[in-house]
Amino acid sequence: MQLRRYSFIVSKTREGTAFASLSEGAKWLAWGLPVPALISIILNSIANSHPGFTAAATIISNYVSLTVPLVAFNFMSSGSRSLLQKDKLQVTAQSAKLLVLGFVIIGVVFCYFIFRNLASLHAVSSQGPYYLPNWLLILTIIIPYLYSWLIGLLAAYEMWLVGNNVAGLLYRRSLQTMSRAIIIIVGASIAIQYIQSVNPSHGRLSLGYIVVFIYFILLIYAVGFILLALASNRLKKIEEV
Amino acid sequence: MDSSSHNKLFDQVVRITHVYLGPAADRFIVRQIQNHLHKSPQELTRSDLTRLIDWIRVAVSLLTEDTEIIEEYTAQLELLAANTNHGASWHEAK
Repeated sequence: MQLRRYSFIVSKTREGTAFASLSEGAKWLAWGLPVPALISIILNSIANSHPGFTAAATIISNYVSLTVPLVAFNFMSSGSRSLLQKDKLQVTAQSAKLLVLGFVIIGVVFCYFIFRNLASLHAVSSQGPYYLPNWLLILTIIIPYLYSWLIGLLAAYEMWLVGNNVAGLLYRRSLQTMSRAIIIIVGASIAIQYIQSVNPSHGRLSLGYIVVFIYFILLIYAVGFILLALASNRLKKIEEV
Repeated sequence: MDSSSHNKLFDQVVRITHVYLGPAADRFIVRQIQNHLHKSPQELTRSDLTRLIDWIRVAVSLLTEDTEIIEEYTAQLELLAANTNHGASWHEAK
């Protein structure tokens, strides 16, 4: 909300469109937790009374959950890129390599969990946990998730670059806080989607452990949004005094 | 704020402010001039500088509690004011 107000204040400036995109991305991520959860609850409750609807409920819930990071990280990426270009900054080759390495590790582990999950559940059920053929799962769930995480990580890194290099001592301090907030939000968001899509309740970890872990990530997620509000408020103050 | 860019004094104040407020510097100075001196940035003269610096000090104090930054920033502006006045007196004496 604070970021939205700030982006409205600077809407007619050079950074206006960048902050508008960041604000839109943050909005999608903020609503991206309760809305898909609510939709999932509604669909599952329908599926409970109409068992034939179970497959449709699972498929719809999965696609709704996927839409959030795709849209949110796209907005954030265009916002961070725009700020990066305005400050004439570039992602160095070494940073790009490290980013790709991190992404490859996340992606390979993600695929490992998904396919291990599919293999173990196929042994006891005729249908997979996603109610989709493997090729469709890869094309419409795994690849879009990996793509959204890559652009999310890139956006977080670009914001970190902007936050550390932008001109203006006081302005930079606020933008550094904002970039840290975005890194936390993107990281926590990816972690939550990771756990939800991997569906680890069938893995080695106990459900209790996972619930505690999810609550811990949600706490970090909330801290990220509080930091974002603080940074936006400080930037807003610069434009108001 | 293209309209104010042809005022050299305004540009010098913005240049100093840019070190502290980055891309917000231009807008910040325009606001201080319009709200507190009730002038347009093009009308900024060297006689306005002392009052402008006082208002800038108040405004920046609202943004940070770091007195070192506030002092450094206003010292830079005061140096500009002194140089401008010195330049003006020299021209007048001539």
